[in-house]
Amino acid sequence: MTEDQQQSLIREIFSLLAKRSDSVCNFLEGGSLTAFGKDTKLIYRHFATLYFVFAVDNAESELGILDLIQVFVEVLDKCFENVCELDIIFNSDKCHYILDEIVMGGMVLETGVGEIMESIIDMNKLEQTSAKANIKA
Amino acid sequence: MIKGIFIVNNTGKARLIKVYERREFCNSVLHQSFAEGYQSIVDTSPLTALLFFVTSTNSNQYLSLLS
Repeated sequence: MTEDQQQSLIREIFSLLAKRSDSVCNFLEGGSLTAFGKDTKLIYRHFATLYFVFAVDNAESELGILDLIQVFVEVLDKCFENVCELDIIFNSDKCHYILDEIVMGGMVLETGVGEIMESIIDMNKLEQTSAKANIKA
Repeated sequence: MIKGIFIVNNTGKARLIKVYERREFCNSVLHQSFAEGYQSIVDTSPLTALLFFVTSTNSNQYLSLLS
C-alpha cells in the first residue's frame, strides 16, 4: 500500500468516524473503504484526542477487538505513565513494538497485559544492557 | 483477521498506521493463538507499516488518554 493510498484510507476512516457521537455503537461497516474488501468492519474507541481504529474481517469478534483496544491502551499507559498523544508521536518505535507483541500478521498473539508488560520490560533491559556495552566500547 | 490498525487524532491526522497484508504463505508458522484458544496459521510475511506525523500545536495532545 503506497503512502498516498494510506493517506486516502485515513481520510476515509476519519470521515466515517468524525460524524459519529460518543454515544453510538463502536462498530461500523467499512464496506465503503476502497483499500479493504467488502467484509471489512471498523471497530474503534475514542480516548481523549485519539481514535483507535481496527479494521477487521468477519472472522473477528467485535467485542474481542474492543477489549484488545483497551488492552493496547492500558499497556501504552503503563509504559508511558499517563500516556497522551505526544507519547505516541515521539515514541513511535516503542508503540510499534508494543503492537507487535499484541498482533502479528493480522492475528492476535497476546491479550494479557501482564505478559505483554513482561516482554516490554525485558526489551527495555536489553536496550539498557546494549547501551552500556556501547558506552564501554 | 485484523487488516489494519490506525490511530487518528480528532483533527484527522494519523498518528500510527499498521496494515497487515497476506502476500505469501511460505514463511507461515503454526501458532497457538492464546486469545481465541485455537490453532491458526499465522502469516509471517513482511508487514507493511508506516508511521507519519504532522506537527501540530494542539495543546490537547498532552491530555492523558485514560484520565
